[in-house]
Amino acid sequence: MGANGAGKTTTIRLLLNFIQPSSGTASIMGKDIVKDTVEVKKHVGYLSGEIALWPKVTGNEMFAYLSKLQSGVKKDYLAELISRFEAEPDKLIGELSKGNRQKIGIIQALMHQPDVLILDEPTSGLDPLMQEVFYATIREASARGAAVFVSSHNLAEAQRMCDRVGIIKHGRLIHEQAVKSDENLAGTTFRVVLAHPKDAEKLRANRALKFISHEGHTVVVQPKRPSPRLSPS
Amino acid sequence: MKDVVLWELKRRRTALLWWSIGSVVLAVFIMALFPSISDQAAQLNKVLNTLPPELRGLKTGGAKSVDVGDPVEFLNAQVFYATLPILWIILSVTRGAGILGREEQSHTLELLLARPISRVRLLAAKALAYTGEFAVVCGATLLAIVVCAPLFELHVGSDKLAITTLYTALFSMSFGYIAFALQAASRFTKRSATAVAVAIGFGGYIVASLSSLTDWLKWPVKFMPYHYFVPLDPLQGKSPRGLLVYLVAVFVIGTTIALLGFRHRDID
Repeated sequence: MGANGAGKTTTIRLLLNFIQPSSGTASIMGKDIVKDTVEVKKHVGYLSGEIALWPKVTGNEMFAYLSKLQSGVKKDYLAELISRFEAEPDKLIGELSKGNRQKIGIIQALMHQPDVLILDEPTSGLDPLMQEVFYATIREASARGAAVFVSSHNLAEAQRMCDRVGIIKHGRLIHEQAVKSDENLAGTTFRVVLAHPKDAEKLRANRALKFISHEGHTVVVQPKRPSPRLSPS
Repeated sequence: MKDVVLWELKRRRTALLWWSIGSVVLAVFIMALFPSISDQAAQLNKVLNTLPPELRGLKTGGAKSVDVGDPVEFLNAQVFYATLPILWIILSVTRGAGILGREEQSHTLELLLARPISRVRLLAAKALAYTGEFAVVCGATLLAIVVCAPLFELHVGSDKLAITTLYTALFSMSFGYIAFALQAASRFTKRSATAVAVAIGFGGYIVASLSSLTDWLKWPVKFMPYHYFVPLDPLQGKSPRGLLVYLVAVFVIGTTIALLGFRHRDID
């Protein structure tokens, strides 16, 4: 999770080796994302944030083509996904609405039942009913043992799909924690504006608080247990 | 790799059909003019050879005189030196810059690179698809030239016609390959890669055509591909060594640059 420009999409594009890292390493399923990128992609399903598909082909033609490039696509499962998302695979993609194009994009990411799903703001353009179908499908993938890596700026959505949430800011992971479905993450983070920046050290020393970030007069903290004396910022 | 090539050819089938029809019709139309031109060759040669050399050179590949009544010189000047290369350079540059550039511009390249296919294999598949598309158009034209030339009294051996068409096709294709390599190797947009290839192609055509008439162009013309393109040589059964060296250089250097660049560059 992160604000616009925080680096969510850049992180995903790095993991898929679309852009090259200037330093550091990362691995997916124990394989280096740069050296073993082909091996990594055998296990990955990817949905980009700004879905781009070939407009002059039908969904079915596209699925057939991509199935040849990626093994493991089962016709039955593909048909099930098409039916579940009520997609229109016989129409030219260029004639579909944004939501229906998004469904085609989701199906191509899921159709080979990958071990790792990398999804960049996946529910963008989907109506609420389809979002529910999508969450259910993701839960299924997760139950099957797939790792689901999702970027979002919708906290409620993250809580519905994720076991852990990481917060990214200016390209750095500033916080990571497990998510409990009954926990309201939004209510536990506080932005505190201090009269004196040096008071930040007092907050940092407070064992009841998890210190998240500090910039100038502003400190972001999280109570380790909900506190009635603090109100959400 | 085969799947990417077939996908590209299938998607482009309508455009390829029209390009093939256009190329065939143009070549046959020009050849069909030969019987009536050869009847008036003496007068036409007289008029043509009195034109300012700069104008004549643009149509004859810089030759100082021309005999339009001779089938070989007619084919050289009217079909192989300018008409077909200009048409084919437009096709080759458009496709060379677009076959990868258009996918990158529209972000569909990500759909392919998210699959377990290496960048090198994808690049090779795209280059093969580009070659295949070009081969369809040039192959149809070659067939039309070989079949129709005798019908229009252009009595030149089929082998010479075939080899000259092949050289013309490879020469035209080289400009598209320059655009392809530039686009693959760097973050040249489709438009910039096209502009560079067109400048090398058509700029070279003008410079090469005028070079035999202007002393100061004799040195820079050696860097222009058109300088090495003399279709008269294969039509007369001579080996076009300069052209072969140029073609090998473009395809080897282009491939090396494209591979080295595309393997490690960021995708837009």
